[in-house]
Amino acid sequence: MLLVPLVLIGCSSVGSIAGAVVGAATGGATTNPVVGYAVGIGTKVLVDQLVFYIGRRRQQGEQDEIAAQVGALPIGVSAPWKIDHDIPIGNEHGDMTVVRQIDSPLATCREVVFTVVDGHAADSPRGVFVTTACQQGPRWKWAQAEPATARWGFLQ
Amino acid sequence: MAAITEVGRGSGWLRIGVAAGLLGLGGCSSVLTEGSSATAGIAGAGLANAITKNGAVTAGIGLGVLAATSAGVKYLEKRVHGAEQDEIARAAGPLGEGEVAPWQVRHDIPIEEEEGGQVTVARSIVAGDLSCKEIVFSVDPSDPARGRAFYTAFVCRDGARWKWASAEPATERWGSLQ
Repeated sequence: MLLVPLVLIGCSSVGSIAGAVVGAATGGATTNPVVGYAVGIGTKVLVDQLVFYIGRRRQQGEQDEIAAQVGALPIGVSAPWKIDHDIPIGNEHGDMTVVRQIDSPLATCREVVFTVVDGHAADSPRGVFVTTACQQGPRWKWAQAEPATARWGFLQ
Repeated sequence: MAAITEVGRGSGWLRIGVAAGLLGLGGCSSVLTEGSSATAGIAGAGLANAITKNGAVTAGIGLGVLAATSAGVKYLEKRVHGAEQDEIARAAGPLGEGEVAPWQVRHDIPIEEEEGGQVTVARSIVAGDLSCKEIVFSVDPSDPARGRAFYTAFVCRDGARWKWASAEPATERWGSLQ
């Protein structure tokens, strides 16, 4: 079971599929649809949590990879970045440039413009993004806070 | 798919236990969402089953209740989190660049941790009659040994109040957010 979410990473319906399969199997075994439904939903909850957890960890890995370079990079200089996931799906890379330092009494932060290329083909999907990173002790961490709740929309 | 069906057979329950262990790392809000919805869905399905012996109808009613409850919990989460954003924006509003103020949020409904920290204004942005500020804020842990976390955001004046103004990430960057 643990392998399935890993392979289908990013597929948020894995939990529903697992829930449906287990629920149907249990319902068939007990002939009670409520028991089947309950077991099915329970399975969906567990598998969903696992998929989301793995997805978040992978995204955090990519954020950490970019943020780690922010502190060492002089302002205005470009450098490449890349992430090699343990599971080699969605290994992205690109360039990053620190464009501004945000000095404040609380922390030193920097604004960074970065490109993301998914793959190495000429027509690989790519994008340009802007974010911030702040120094937290010896490390630099991704610092862009969440959107205003009024803009959550389909994100939630 | 073969691997999934394994779960339904005896030894698979051990693996569910492993997955359950990861729940603790998954953040409580999603457990709250799914847990409440699932419980309501199961209760709905149970009620429906008492009325009808048709399994498909039972499952349909259960799923309907599940969806409705899930929407309700998400609304609640959004409101509680909006209160925290409002509190930081309120603290940041009167500040000039480089000034620091504390912020603290206490929730009426305890589904998020009561957090606090400091906020400062890094930059003022004036565009016509719109007034915004780029802020740096800290979230201070209850255990100081864990170190403070720093984040950046935007707040804008909306009438007499200051409101959180950071827009959502580009849809290409939603990843596992959704």
